[in-house]
Amino acid sequence: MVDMENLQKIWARGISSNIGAAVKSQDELKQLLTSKVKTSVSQINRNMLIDAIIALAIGVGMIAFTIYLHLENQGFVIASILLVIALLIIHYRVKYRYFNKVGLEAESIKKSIEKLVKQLTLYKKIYFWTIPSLTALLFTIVHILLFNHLIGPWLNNPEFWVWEAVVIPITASVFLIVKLLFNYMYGKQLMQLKGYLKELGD
Amino acid sequence: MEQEFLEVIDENQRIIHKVCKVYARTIEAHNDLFQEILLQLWKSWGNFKYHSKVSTWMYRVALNTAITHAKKEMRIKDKRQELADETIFQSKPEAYEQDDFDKLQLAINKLSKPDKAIILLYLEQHSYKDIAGMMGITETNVGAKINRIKNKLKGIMNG
Repeated sequence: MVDMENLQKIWARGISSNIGAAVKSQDELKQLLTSKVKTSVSQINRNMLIDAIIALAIGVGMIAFTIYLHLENQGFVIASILLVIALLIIHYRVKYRYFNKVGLEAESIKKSIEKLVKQLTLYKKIYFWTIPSLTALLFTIVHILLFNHLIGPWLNNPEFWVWEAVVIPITASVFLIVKLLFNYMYGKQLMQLKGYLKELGD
Repeated sequence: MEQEFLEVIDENQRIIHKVCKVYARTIEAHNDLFQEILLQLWKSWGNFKYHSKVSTWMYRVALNTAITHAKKEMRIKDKRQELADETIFQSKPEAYEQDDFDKLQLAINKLSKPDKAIILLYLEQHSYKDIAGMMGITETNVGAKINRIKNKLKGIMNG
C-alpha cells in the first residue's frame, strides 16, 4: 500500500534520480533550440509553400480555361481570379502567423486554453464563411461573363437564373468539404481543449 | 539575450524535465516535448522581463505547451502508451515490487492533462495560491481537485 500522505516525498525522492541523466549542458541546449527554431520555420515555410502552390495551380488552371474560352472580358476575369488567389495567399500567411503567435507566457493555463479555443472558433467561422462565399462569388462572376459572351444580356434572362441556381449545390458542397477539412485539421484538438476547459471550470 | 536565456534555462531545466516526465511516456516523446517547450520559452522570453518568478514563468509556459501541444506524432505515441506501460511492467516481472515512485508515475500517466498539471504542481510543493494562479482557477477549486486527484491516484496505485 502506498502512503498517500507522503506523495510529495515519494515524488521528490524519485524524480531527482530519474531526470539526472537527462539534464543537458548549455551547449546542448543551444543546439536543441537552434535546430528546433530552424525546423519550426522550415515547417511553416513548407506548409505555406504547399498552400500557395495549390492556390496558384488552381488559379493558373482557371486562367488557362478563361483564355481557352476567348471571353470578351478576359482581363477582368483574370484579374478576379488573381484577386482570389491573392486573398487565399494572404489568408494562409495570416493563418500561420496567427497560430504561431499564441502567447503562452503571461496567462494562466485556463486563460491560455480559453484563448486558443476562442481563436480556433473564430478561425472556424472565418473559414466556414469565406471560402464558400468566395466560391459563390467567383462562380457568379465567371457565369455572368460567360453568359454575356455566349448568349447575351444576363440580368433579365430566366435561363441565366436557372443556371445560376447551380451555385447553391456548389457552395453547399464547398461548405461541406471545408467543414470536413477543418474537422480533420483542428476538430479533435478543439474538442479536447473544450473538454479541458470544462474540467477546469469552477 | 540568447546567452541570458540559455543561462536561465540551464539553471532551471529540471522544471522542463519534470513536466516532460509527467506528459511524455517514451524517451522520444520526452525529447520532442522538451524541444517544443524550449521553443515556446524562447518565443515568450522577450515578454517575460522578470515580472514573475522564473520558475513560475517556466511552469506556465511548459504546462501550457504540454497541454495544448497536439502534434500528430504525439497522437501516434498516445496509441503506443498502453504498450509502453506494459513494457515497463514486462521489464520488471516482479511488478508488485516496484517502488512507490514507479507506481506513482504510472498512476499519473492515467490522469487527464489538466489533472496532471495540478498534481505536478502539488507534488512540487507549490502553495494552493500559486497553483490557483498558474491554473487560473480558485484556491477552493484547487483544494477540491487535489483531493479528487489523490483519491483517483490511490485507486490506481493501491487498487
